[in-house]
Amino acid sequence: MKKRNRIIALLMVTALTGASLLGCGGSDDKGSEKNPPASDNGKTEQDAPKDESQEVKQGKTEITFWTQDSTTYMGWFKEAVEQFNAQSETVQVNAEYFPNFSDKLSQAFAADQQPDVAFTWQGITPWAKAGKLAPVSEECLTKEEMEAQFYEGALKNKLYDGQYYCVPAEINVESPSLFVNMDLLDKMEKELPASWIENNGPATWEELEQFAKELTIKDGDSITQSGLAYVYSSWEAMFPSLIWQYGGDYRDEENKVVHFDTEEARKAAEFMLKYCKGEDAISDSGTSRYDLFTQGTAAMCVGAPWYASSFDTDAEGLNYQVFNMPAFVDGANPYHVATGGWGYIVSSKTDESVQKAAWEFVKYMTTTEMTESWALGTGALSADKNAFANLQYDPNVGSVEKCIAITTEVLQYGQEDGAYTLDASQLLYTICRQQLRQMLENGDIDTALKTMEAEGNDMIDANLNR
Amino acid sequence: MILPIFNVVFYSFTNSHMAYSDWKFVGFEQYIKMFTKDTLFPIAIWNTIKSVLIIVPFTVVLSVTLALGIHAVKSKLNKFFTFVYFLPSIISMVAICMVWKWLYHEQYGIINAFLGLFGISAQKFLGSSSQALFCLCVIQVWALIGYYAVILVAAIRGIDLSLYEAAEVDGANGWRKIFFITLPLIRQNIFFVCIMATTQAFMFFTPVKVLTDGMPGTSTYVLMLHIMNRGINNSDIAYASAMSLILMMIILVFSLIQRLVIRKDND
Repeated sequence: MKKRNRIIALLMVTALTGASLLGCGGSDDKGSEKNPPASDNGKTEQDAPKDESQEVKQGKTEITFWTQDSTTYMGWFKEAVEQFNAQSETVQVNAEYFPNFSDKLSQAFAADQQPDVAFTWQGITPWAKAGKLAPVSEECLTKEEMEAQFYEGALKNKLYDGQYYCVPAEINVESPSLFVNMDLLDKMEKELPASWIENNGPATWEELEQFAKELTIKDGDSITQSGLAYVYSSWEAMFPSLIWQYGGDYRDEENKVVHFDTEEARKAAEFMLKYCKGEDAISDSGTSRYDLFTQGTAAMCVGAPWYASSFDTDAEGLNYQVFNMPAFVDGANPYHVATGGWGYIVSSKTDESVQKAAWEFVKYMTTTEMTESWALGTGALSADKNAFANLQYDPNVGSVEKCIAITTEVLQYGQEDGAYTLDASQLLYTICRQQLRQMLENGDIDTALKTMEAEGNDMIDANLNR
Repeated sequence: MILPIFNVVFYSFTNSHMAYSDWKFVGFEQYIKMFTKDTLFPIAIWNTIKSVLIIVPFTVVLSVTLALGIHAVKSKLNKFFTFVYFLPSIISMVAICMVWKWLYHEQYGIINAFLGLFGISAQKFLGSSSQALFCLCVIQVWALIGYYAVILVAAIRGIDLSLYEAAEVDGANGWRKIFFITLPLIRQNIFFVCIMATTQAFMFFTPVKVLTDGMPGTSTYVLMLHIMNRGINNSDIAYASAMSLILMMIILVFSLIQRLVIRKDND
């Protein structure tokens, strides 16, 4: 009896161990036609809503396409992919949408289980360097065509070793927009300065600051209504804007290191602390500017064009106006971050026919008309120089159209954020973000700047010398 | 189970990066970086320790109290209460967090409305550096105590009733029975709750990620979030592995100390 029990126990342990080890394994089959990554890359059914509305026509090459699952993105892409599938005789796109998309894609690349095509904002150079991305096919767009069609700022971080690895859809501008909650103004019986509508915004920071102070409500030291919310939610982009406006630069002329331990960076950090801490505070520092604005506890907020499209889902019926931000620094130009944002990448891990099909899809999605449509649907600025030549909008009402049109007018002050670091996104939105948050907590500007510089240079060193 | 642990140990001595296939051994470089260069690591450790100091005592005391309370109910309501208090442990933590987000809301939250009845001004809760971590710990405690209470109720039900009858004959009242019979006899289970609550407190993550993402400032920036940010967002899997190992060591040390206390108690 004991012996039989032992044998049964041994068999069960063996079965469990085998099952566990099988779970650790990955598939070697990268052929998308035979076995698309969508079905074997380890994602669960509930986090991958599939678009099953199309039937696969015989003879078509199937490709998988991934992007994020936000309402605006999923809404636009479902329609666009359907249109593509209907008109293409040779390619069938299976689109999948994910929450926490950037994490999902990073993990997929790490496991060599990436989709055939992805639409992402992430820094793509490490993947290009690791040979996991295919360079943009000449059948899709030649290098010359890309440089003629897209803004220079949108292309810099898509280039590695002389070749483009991503076709941009967006030039990502951060913090150039000023949103005003018109209902709150009405409630407070405040009038919007008439000149703001004529000039697309306040002429100076002093003018904006003064108005923000009038709209700020405090209860002791605590701010119960922010006059101008600007903290968190990509506020890191204000930091380089301020450095440039103070006349400095964190980027290196020789493209080797970054400099944050400078006088201009110190002034920038002081500016960022001044208006959310202490007696000059016009912004709450506990909640993100986007949340404060959409929840109705901020009269104005600094933001980006994508805010406008997100208001439709996050703050339905919000009566808002949108303007361009003035320069924070008196006499300076309103410099801001404008760099390559969302774009299409194609995996190099599939066979030639799948890559060809993938580039056909990318070509369709990156025509001027399509990027225009995508930008309007999601509140982004198209990377295409020819987009929005005649965008109509009502200057008296806040809208996605107005936001895009007026932001395009200040695009000339947009600055690329440091493609030479091979991951400017990590530099600003991880390294600087964490140090700015720490600075907000302890007020220690010196340590924050020194750490930003040290960690930034460590990152560059790791990226360049790998 | 062994394979992932081995992988973590292995990665922590390399420069592995999620984007690249190549790697090399770098010795203790990741550990040196953690203790000498990373300014967020000590903050994350300190916030984690603060969370443990809040979560563990509250979880243990409240789950024991709850278990005694449920056990004291003699009617059919006993099963109903057991079910109600167990419910949070089978609901998704993310859903729980979304409910608490609105409870804590400065303008529309029930908690501030309640405080307002007593003339207390509206609190920022998750928007305040001094309150946010405690508020997040409250969510964790709320979600955990029902589960542990059910374990403890089962232990209490296993106590021989003749012990209580004998105590009653000797004139012991309700409190004396609890302190001299119930608690000593379920101490092994209470220690189990202590160990589990400590482990879960060190791995405190979901409420932080969902509700504050480490903010305001770095006031709720805990170690698990730091590991996630470095390992997944930055793709620095080697450094994240090194931090995970340190976290594992800390939990192991605490668990061993608690185990030693139990053994000493048994002896």
